[in-house]
Amino acid sequence: MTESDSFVQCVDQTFDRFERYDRYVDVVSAWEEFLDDQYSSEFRDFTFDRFPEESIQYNGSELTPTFTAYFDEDYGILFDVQHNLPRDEEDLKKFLEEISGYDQGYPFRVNGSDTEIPEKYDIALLISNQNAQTAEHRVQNFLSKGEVQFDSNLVLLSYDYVDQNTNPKYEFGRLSKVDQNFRDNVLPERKQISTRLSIEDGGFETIDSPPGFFDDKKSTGVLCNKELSELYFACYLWHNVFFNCLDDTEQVIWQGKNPRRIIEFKITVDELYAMLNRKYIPGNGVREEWIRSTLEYLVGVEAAEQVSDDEYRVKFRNLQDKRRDHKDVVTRRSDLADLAHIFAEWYCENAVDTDTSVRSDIRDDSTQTTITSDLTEPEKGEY
Amino acid sequence: MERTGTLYDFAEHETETSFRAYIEELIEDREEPVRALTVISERTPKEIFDEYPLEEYSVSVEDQEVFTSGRLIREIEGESYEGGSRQFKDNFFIVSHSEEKLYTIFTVSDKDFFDKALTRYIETLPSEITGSFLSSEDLRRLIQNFDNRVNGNLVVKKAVLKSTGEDTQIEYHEDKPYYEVFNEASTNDLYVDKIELTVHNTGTAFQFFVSRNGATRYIRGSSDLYFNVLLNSLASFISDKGELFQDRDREYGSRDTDPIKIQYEEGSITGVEENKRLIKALKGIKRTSVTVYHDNPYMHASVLDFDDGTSVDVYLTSDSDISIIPGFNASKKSLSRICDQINKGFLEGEVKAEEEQERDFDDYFSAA
Repeated sequence: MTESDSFVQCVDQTFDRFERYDRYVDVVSAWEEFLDDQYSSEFRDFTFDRFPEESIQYNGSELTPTFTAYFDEDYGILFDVQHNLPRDEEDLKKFLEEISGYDQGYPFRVNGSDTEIPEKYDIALLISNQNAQTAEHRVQNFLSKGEVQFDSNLVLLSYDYVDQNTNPKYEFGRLSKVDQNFRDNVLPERKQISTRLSIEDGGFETIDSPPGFFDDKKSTGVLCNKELSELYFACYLWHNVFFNCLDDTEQVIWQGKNPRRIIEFKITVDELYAMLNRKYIPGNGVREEWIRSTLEYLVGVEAAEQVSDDEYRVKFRNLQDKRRDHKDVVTRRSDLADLAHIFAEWYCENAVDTDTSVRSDIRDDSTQTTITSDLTEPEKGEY
Repeated sequence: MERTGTLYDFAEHETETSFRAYIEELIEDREEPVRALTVISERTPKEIFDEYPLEEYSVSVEDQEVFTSGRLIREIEGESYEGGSRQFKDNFFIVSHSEEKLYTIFTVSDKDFFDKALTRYIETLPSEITGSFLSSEDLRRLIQNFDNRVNGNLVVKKAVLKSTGEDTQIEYHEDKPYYEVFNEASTNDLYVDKIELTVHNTGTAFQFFVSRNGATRYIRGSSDLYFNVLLNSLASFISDKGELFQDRDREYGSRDTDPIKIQYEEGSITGVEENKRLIKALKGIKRTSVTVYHDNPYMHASVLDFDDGTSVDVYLTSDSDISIIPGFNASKKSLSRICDQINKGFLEGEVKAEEEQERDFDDYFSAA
């Protein structure tokens, strides 16, 4: 494999993770919007937990739900989102056994930091529609043979986004081969999800969520309890957090000038952890390990340096797409050429070629500080 | 009137009438129109000018009886200039409007001074002082309001219409009724960028110019029509826009948002290519960074404005609207330029506050 091939492969893999993570964030945000909108006024203690903390240990594995919904002391739903299920039968069995570990009295978050185990709760396994049909047959096989047993109902749901070319939406449907539905009779009768998803009682309907429903939940929830895409989080920090780490004088340096000038500031993981959980993504869901791995990613991009074990120096500026070694290689986001594209390409360039000695002069374009474009020819139509 | 480095003697202009007569004289003497920018300023412009000295600019400002006068010099160094630098210098005036925080800053000078010194200076100042954009519909209503207030036939002398997106199209129209120009723009998916009109009233014809960025020119005719009718009406439009973009930033520790919506007719936006066109439009905003989180089938991008740290999330989620969710920093100035760019670079629509929608349980379900 040539260096260019490795570079393209690295960028591709980076965006596979980025896009899958974004899809997970969408799914979580869609459910948060639906459940919060419909049930927070019905149940005094209704709590949607976007970042469940409690993990369960089962057969030597550790599992954390993707999100949970606590309705009252009688009922809750625990959600686990998976792009696909393990292909190997033994691995699938192991996975289902692990999931069944959620049966052992999972503590749902209720109002802030309290937790409670509802009298009854179900486990919803959300699987990407691409893999859902085979998944439902395989899971049903295991369940019918009694190889894995659940106290809760295991409700299999698919998630898919439907492109109607004009008004796209996420669609969540029940995979009925696994003959289990929500035991949600504590919910108001007209708002029982099980009825709408049932073949017998309802119209076997799907739950729909156009992005216009959940966009504010996505913008304010930002992350989710799945394996992090560091690139995704790095873009959020760059656009939403780092500017505010500059003092007033530093902030005006770019005012009307060339924002490519680098302004450096130091920040510790602890400081960032406190800022994010208190101010930016409230709910104490942002994990320290996510912050650390994202700062490490920015070191790989050369947009940060590690100063000590806990401290990093961020080199903040408006990054421009100036490629060097692989500038002629087209990758899948080349047409967008946005911040994520720049980060990914710079990271991958460093990852496939560690010799960066010849690059520093090209990467550091901080000497250009004044824009004189307003003194060039007038734009079209000027008079 | 000579052009010197000192402020004029304004002591004699103690009333609006004498000040305006003086401006009419200046126009005649200098053979230049009034070139003006109407802005929203959180404090008096003088206070902001005094507080923020800017590299390349020197400014002196003095309050008079009914206006504020000032002198601005911009000196730009560069090897391409003869003698190693180029200087723009002239006087300017500031008048306030009855709308709170609304001011018009103007000069009777050439286009170079207005564009490259005065306008650029105001744009470079912090976000406390900002202009606003006027959509084609805003411009049409502004001119219609003016038309309703004056007698005589209002005729377009010149207009610049541009197409949204990449392939800029320019059309000039002469001696047409203004509504024909706006109709033509609407029919052909063009936006009105600037327009110059005359109205034959009694006496000298009144000739003026107004552009999408809130700049005006008073070329000849009655100063009363310019200051009392046109500028006051313009100030009212800009004030309304300012209110729309005011206090929309999120509070730390809260997940509440205060989105803005750009509304289009149903079915106006179809196909994934439209997502790409919108991304391209966003990338066209100077001194900003864009991240695209999702580009198919819906579009979600984040924009950071390096001028003042404003960040927004932009969503294109249906065939008829774009949502803009402001982040923790969101200035009027930046929200205005982001919305303007979407309107110019993508498609003109109606910019308004997004209203919270109540959804019924049934709204979340459909037949499989």
